Amino acid sequence: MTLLFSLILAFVTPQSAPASIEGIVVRSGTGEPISGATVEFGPENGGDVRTVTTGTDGRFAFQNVKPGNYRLVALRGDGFLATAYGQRIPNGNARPVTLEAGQNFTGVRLTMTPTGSISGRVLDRDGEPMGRVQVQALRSSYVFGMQGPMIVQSTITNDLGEYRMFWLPPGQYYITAVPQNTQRRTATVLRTPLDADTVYAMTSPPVITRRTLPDGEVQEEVAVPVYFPGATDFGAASRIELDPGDNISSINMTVAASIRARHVRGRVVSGANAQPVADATVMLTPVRSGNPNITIPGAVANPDGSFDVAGVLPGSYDLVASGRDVFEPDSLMGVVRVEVAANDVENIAVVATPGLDIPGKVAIEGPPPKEGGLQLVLRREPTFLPIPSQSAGAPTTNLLSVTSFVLRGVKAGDHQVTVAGMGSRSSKNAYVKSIRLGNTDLLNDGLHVYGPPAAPIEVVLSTNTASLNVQVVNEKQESVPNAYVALIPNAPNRRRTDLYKAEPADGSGRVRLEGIAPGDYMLFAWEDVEIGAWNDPEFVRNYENRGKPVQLHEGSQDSSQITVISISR
Amino acid sequence: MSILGITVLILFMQAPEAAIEGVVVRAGTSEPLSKATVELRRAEGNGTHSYVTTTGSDGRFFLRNVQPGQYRLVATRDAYVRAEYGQRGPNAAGSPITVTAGQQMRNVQMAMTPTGTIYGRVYDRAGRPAVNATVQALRSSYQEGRRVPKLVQSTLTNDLGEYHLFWLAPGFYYINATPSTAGSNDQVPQPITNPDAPPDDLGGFVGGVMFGSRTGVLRPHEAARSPQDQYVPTYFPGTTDENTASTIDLRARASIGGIDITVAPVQAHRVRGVIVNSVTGRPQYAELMRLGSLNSSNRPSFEPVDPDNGTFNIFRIVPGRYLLVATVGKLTGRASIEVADQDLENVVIVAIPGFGIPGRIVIEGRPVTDSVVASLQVNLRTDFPIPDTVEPKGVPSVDGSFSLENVLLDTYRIDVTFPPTLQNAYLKSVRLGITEVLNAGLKIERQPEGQLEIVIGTNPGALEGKIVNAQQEAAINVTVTLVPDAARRHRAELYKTVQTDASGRFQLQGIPPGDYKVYAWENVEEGAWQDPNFMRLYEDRGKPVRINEGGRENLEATVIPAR
Repeated sequence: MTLLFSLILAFVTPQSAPASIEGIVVRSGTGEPISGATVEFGPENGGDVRTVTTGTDGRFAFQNVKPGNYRLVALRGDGFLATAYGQRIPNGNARPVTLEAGQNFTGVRLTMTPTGSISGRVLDRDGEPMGRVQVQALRSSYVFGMQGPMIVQSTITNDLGEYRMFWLPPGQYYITAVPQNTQRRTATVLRTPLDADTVYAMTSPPVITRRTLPDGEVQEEVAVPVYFPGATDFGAASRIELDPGDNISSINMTVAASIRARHVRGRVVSGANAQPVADATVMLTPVRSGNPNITIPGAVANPDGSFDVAGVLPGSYDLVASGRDVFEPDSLMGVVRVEVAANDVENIAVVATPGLDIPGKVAIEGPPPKEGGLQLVLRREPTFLPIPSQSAGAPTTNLLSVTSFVLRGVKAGDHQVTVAGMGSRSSKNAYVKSIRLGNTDLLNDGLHVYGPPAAPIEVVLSTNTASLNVQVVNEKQESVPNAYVALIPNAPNRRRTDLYKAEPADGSGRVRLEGIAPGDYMLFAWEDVEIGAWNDPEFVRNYENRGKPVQLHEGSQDSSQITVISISR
Repeated sequence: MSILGITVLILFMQAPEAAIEGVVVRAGTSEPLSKATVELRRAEGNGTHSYVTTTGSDGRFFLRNVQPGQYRLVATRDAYVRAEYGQRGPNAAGSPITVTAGQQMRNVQMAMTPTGTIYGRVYDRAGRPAVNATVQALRSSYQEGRRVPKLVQSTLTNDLGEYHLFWLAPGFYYINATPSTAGSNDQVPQPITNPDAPPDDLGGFVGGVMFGSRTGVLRPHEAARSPQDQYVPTYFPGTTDENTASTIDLRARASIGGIDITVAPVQAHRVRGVIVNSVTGRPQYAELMRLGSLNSSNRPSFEPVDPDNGTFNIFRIVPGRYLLVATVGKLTGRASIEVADQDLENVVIVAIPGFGIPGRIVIEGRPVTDSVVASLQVNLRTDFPIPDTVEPKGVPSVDGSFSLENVLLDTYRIDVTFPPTLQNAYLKSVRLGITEVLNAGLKIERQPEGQLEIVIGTNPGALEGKIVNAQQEAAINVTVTLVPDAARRHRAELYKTVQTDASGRFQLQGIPPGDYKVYAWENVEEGAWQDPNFMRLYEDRGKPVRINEGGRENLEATVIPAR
């Protein structure tokens, strides 16, 4: 009996001796304990998550833990950013907690960064408070392949012209006040949650003020947004530095500028039967915006196809005329570039045609692909148009598993051609070698649709990918664990997000990058970096001289050592 | 010479253009209002064409080249109530303008009433600010004598728990607050309703929101929330029962602060029980089962619940009074329940067949047998009608006899629909056996004894009179309301309302005999006289009058001025 008992112990104990972990959640800077924080503790690769809520002492503990790798996260929705174990900066790369059998891991500190607020008042040019003005906090962001200010939060002023934006992560902000049609029944406010890195752009019709003078002359003006402290041009906006826990008040603005608005008039005709397109929707979309608030003047065409769009400010526009439902593949659409200067623009003729079906062929070089998926996506230029993007064939058509496809109902105009992984399962061993239509390189020059194409689109994929084993070190050539490694293509391929590779290194500073397209790259490793920051060319430019040039060939298996970049120090 | 002649001819052929000009002022003053939008809108047809202008610092507006036709002239401005030409006050009806060719209307004055603000803070149970709580301003409106809350505006609190509800038209408001249900990470775009706005919108492209994820995100797991915590609106000053909420009397230009509300999640409970078929005496599966809340509005919201072979188990019910209704074939069971601080067990709903009630209807001054009787319809109305069910009704035979089928346990109001030929008819008395039930209501608790005897009166009274203001001058285009005495206030059909004519006179006919009060208002919201809270303020301002059978009364009353 005794023998049996000790035998069991001998087999079981070394593998299942429970570990434990305990620590404290503190506020960054002051180090004071944070109560009411939810601490989540769960296996790195998914599984049961245990949670505790901290008391006034900020302490947490998890007992009876099986040995392994875990994720440890602290959350408090009201006024603190989420923090994960190992993060050195908010949104930086987390590291797993590794617990050995029987280990008592104590003294863990999870440091939470407090959020801040920005508040102020908005007045009109008479110095009266402006109610129901939309006030937005903007941050420089990189989305939709574009670098520029994007909305991270918005609110509406009250009757005293007051606004307050809160739970803002520390960082650099621009504040803008955007006049609204105050007689509308609803207004949109965007209260971005903490921990979710979502940015917004908004489209709206212009707010037109019409005034008839005693002599019968009619004046039309459009109020333009103002950037703190008083600029109407984003380039002259002041940047506000919000430190952790800051409450910045008196960010006051005066909405003073109104610009005389022009009209654009013309007629929409169907390219199919030369008949007027009644009830066509006409939108004037700015060609270059540089602003997340996109004013889109619009009108609905009369039964004879004629339209009159009011409230247009000087600039370049794509006039988009479409049948009732632009999301229908068979609907009519026509695009005309319109330049608006000092005067009204008359007699614009728009020919609206049904979308075209464009065929394509797929060729694969090298051995057949193993798994994953690649998708061809057409994105309309400019990308902010409220018109859907299109993918090859059905949205689920995987280029790796077909030899031909048809892009259905492609609307006239310019499209950016991109390749995206399907869902989260991007291909590990295939890349896009070229996409051409005749002599045009669609990946770099885009697809310009003005009539049926002369030839099918030719997609060439290759499975002859390269791989790269990377070792991350510091200046003393010692290995550095858990850094983020990114392989970024050189010009002219910087815009091709499908060629980017990024992976965290392991505990010994090693990572293997696979499925790489042959070509010239820069290799980087950051010790603490906001995840995804390397997709922003502006960010990468700051570190260009700290990267390492790498040239990769078809099927090559190379190794490289890279010196880590530390941002926070 | 000939050239001149042609010019003259052209001038005459052109129809002279009409024009309207005037000034926008703050109501009760001559202070001009700048930045007001003035719109002349076609009154008839689908008239999309309108004339729009904006006032300058002198408050003046000009509308030129107006085509002849019927129009409404409307002024809108931030912080003022929408105003229409011809109105006596901000809630009164406007009158259309007829524009003829070449007409020059000058010195049109549009008076705009300033709005008010209600503001305060919302706290949680621990006294901390409730962040991103939804705060609503509601008003009462009246439909068929039932009070229906109407949402006027909603907003969200900031991180200090502060809210401002603003640009509200003067009137009586209820304020409620609901904590952010999605936890503190609430992100959904929130509407801020502006009911004084005309329906959206004037063509053009309506905006949208696009999202983009800036980076790859380290997304934490969702924190688990207790499913037993439910959030219901808390009304100022601190009640979840709308009927005991305080009304806030908001005047023009007023800014009422300190409307602070403490919100707390309420613990939800479970209700379990069984449905019994009264015919078989056994538990019975009910094909339809509904739960209606009697808490908030007078009309309960019914939602289907899941009955399971005779037993039912309803989860997540917040405290309050409810009506449970189960339908088993032709049988119906009802139970009133009150959920307080614990689960309810063993609720028994007995499904019974509806009752049949025989009746007879008599029209005064007509022979007992009259074909017109057959064109009447007798309806039993309940305060809590169950959706998809038909309220009991009966059509009399020529001898006046009728029968009501499938009458369920409830309290009913009797309503008789008269044909157009039977003018001046009114309900004079309704008796069940020997009990008069016209004012008290027909309460069905068991198979009723005796029959329903309905007498239709045909000899109503009439009332005419004159309304004057404090200076004894005729009050023109003011609202005159005849309000029944206290015992009959819940009978919506007894209220009569009319506008005074150009000499301040009014006439009302077909008044069922009884005691009434006459009120005259310069500015009143439609149906407000059925709101007991509103009437409490004016009880003494009404002029009592007794209407006798066939009587004609005449009186003079003083108008209640706009505030």
